[in-house]
Amino acid sequence: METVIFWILSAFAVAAALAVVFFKRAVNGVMSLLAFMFGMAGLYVLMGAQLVAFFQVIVYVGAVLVLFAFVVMLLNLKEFVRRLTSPADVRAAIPAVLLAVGIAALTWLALQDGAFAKAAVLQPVAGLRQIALDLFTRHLLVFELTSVILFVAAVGAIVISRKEGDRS
Amino acid sequence: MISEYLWLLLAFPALGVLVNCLIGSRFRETMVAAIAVSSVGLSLAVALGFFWKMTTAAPAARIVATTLYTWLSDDALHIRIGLLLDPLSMVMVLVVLAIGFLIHIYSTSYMKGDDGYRRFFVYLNLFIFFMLLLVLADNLVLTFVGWEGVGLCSYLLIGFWHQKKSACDAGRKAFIVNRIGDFGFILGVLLIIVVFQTVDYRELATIVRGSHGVSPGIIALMALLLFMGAMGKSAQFPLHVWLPDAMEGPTPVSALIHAATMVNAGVYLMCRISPLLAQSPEVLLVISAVGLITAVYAALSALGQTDIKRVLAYSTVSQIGYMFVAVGSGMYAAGIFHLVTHGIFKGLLFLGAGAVIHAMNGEQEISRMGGLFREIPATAVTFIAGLLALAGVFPLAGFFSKDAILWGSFEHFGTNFWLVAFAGALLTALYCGKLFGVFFGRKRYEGHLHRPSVLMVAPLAILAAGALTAGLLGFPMFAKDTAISRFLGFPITAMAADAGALHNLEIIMTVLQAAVILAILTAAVYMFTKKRERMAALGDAFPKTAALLAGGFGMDRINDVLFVGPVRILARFNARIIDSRIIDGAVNGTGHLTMFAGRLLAGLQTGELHHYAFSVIAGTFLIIGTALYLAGLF
Amino acid sequence: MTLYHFVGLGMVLFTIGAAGFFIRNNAVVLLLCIEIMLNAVNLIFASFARFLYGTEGQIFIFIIMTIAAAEAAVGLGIIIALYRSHKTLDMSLIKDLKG
Repeated sequence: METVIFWILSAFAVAAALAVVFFKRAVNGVMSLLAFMFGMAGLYVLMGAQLVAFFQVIVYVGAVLVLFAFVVMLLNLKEFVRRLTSPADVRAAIPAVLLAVGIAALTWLALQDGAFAKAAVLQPVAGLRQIALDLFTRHLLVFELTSVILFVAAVGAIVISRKEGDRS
Repeated sequence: MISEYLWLLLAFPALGVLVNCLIGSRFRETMVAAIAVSSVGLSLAVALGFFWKMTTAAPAARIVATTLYTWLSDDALHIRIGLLLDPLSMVMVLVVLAIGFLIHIYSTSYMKGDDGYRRFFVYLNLFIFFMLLLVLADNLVLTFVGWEGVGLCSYLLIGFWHQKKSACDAGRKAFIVNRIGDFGFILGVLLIIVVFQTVDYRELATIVRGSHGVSPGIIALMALLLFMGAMGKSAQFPLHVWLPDAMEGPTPVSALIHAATMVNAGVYLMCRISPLLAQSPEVLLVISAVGLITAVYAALSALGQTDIKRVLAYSTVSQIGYMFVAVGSGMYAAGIFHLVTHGIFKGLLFLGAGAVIHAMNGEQEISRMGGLFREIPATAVTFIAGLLALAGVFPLAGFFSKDAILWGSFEHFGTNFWLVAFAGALLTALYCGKLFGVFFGRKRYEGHLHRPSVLMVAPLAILAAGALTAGLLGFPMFAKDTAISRFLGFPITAMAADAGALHNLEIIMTVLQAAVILAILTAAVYMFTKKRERMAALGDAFPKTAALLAGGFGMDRINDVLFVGPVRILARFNARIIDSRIIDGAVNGTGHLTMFAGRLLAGLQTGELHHYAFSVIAGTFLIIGTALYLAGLF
Repeated sequence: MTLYHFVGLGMVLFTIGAAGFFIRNNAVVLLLCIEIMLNAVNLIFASFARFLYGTEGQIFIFIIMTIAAAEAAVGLGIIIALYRSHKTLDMSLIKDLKG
């Protein structure tokens, strides 16, 4: 049963990702990403990481994607209905794509090592309680630093997107 | 006990230098002169005190020595700043200080009104200091310090009137040619240090006289290298070329440095290393040969000169050649004797020449001088006394010393050698006669003559008295022990003469020599005073020969072609090719290379986002690949 | 499902995202591809957490998510600024960083 759900969800996620890449209009891409996020959330639940799925939907879908949608609507891009890419672009991208494939292949090969197989036993599913305890005790510093980053990002985003001469 | 006062000999001139140098610019000329003269005078007084002590002491106890400071000391080698006053250095000290004192007095009047009055006396005192250091040093290294110091002062004083290009060139020439000799000196000292681990004269003497197991070739090499230094400083052929040009300096300088003191340093050095020389007869032969060649060559050149000071310069070169002949024959006492007498009468001649030049308002050409006796009689009389001494007329000083040398060379080297030496003596008489023409004959000058002041004439008179009486040092004649040799502790002749046939031969030869020299001198005086025009015509009839003699047989041209030319070519090559193209090219090339590399790297900045992303992904690929490779995971 | 299934899926998604990044030149779509890559990595971390390391994996996911959100915000701000100055979002036309 699990296997079936896995394959369905993974197919869905892959399809959505391909859609993001190949849609001409940005709005369509954003919507495809939305589907992709939901697919990922499903996979998280399948793995037993419900908290992560929860946050995925709230943060990623609810905040980030909405932000993307806002900006896309704001910019009101009408002219991008031309061809997706020219053949020259595709040809230029091949080396990079090959490299990406290479990275994946390398890591896959690395994982073939016997040590992984031995250690790959199912861990007990960590619940909210366990994660919260770890986050606020052992990994407190990282947590605090992350909040600093958020703060800096917020200020930075405002500064960057200000109009010239707007000091308010 | 008295050795504690040795340093005073050096202290007074040093003090004179410091005072005149640091605060002398505020003094008037007379004050500067007073300081300089009194410093030398005080030193002279101390020296005379030592001399008195020395004469009253027994021959074995005539050494006063002291060590002021240990300069360098390790297990094997000790170099000290030490002073050694033995009879040899006593003689040198007296010569330097006495003649130096007289010349200082003379200079106060001669240099009056010159802009560099104070500078002159600073340099002169500095020279006295270094010369005393040279002769009082008890080891080779300290001697070399004095050696270099007098070389420096010579350079400074030759180029004293540095606005004149010829003076600067002459000073440079003196320094550079001296350097060539110094090269040999340094190599010799280094060799001695390596072989014997000492530079002290007394230690060296002890070691060398004992059994030391060093091959004679090495000893000969040491002696030869040190002689090379002596050749440079004492202006022997072929390192003599600087001395005639050194006449660009003021005349008191020529008198003091280039006649009476510095140029004798080479002879002094040879006497100091006499233990080394005693063990290398080949080097002694070389020394005598060089001395003889120089003596004759310089006498010939002197005959062809037209500048009064240059005649005296070549004459100095010639007479020092005779001193080296004496040293090479092992007759150190005779060499020193000639050194003393030569210092007196050559100093006298130079000062007299200075008076003549001063009187003639700077004119130095002999052809424009004549009949000066009437106007400056005192100068003339003393000058003539000097000439007679130089020629070797009995009973003036030069006769005794020259005679000792001639006899010694005959005894030691045989008839041929003596003949050449005697020929040189005859040439000396010839050019002395030529100089007589300055004072006699018809007037050749126009205008008024400057009479020399008392301060200039008094030293001349004193020196003339010395020229007349110094011969006493050579008494008793025809014996192995004369007064000076007894004082010095060296024998005056090399061989143990058996008082028999040789003794008579010596007397006969002396009389004959004196007679011939006197005859030649008289003839020369007549020719150059009464028949001066005929002599001038003779010179014009053989212009090439005259030019050859006047130019010192073209030594300057030879040096130019052999040494200066190649160096100049090398320098030009260096400047144009190595410096401009290679070195500048390398430096500029580095700059160009950097800029080129920069331009290459700038090509990476295309501005295309995808290219930058490609770099990121490529880098990630490399990092992950390397990490996995190093972890052995594939 | 084993570890390798999830990791393999994550790799595929990552590759899709990377390829998309190099193919497209619309700025917004580029950011979307970055999001895809980040999510793929999140998936791999989650699978490691499930099969190997326990809670650290999930905590790191939170961190990544936070960073991704911050980066998306700033990135969009940049896009707005870019659009204002260049009037286009075609990255192949924007070469201001050249040289």
